[in-house]
Amino acid sequence: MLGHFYLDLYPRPDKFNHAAAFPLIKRFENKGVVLPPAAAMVTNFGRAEKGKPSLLMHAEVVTFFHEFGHVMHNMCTEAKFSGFSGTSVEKDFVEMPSQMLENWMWQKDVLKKVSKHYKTGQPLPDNMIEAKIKNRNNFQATKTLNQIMLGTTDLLLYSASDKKQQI
Amino acid sequence: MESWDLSYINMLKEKDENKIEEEKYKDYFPAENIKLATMEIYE
Repeated sequence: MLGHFYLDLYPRPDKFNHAAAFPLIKRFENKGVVLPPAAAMVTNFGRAEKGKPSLLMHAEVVTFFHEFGHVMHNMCTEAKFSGFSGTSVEKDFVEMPSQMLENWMWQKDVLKKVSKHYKTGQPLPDNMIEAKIKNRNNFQATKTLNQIMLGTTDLLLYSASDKKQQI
Repeated sequence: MESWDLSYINMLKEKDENKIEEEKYKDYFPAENIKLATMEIYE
């Protein structure tokens, strides 16, 4: 047994309203005795409606796997000290396992495996998978420019020390 | 209009079109099935 995790997938009043993974217990080892880790994944996917189960958009499936990547990071840790356990790593590495799982949701064989039409039980057809993968990078340059604009505004705003400095 | 504006408008337009398209994909991703897939990874 590697550890425990909880999946808290659906909304309820006063719940945290984004998607995230939280370490609850961080693994540690003392004199050969291991305290296994525990983590919780929190999301707010749409609930089941009349005659329809809870259905996710592809982007939500990507989010699911991203957050589950953090959970797995917490589960698979072999750190002896809780301070270095699971996602307690250098900031430039913390998203790496999540991005690995996230990327699976853009691979044909994995998409075939995880998809199942709620009525027919059929996996995603090839043409829909191919269209999804083909459009993955649409408008990436525009989206990146948007991020650069936000970052630049932030840097200018918070680094302006002189009242006369033009923003 | 600047090319930047056009590009941004096109992106928003495509986003709207994608919303309709995305509905078709939803039918293939029941949350419970995705949950089972994650269990397989864990095991």
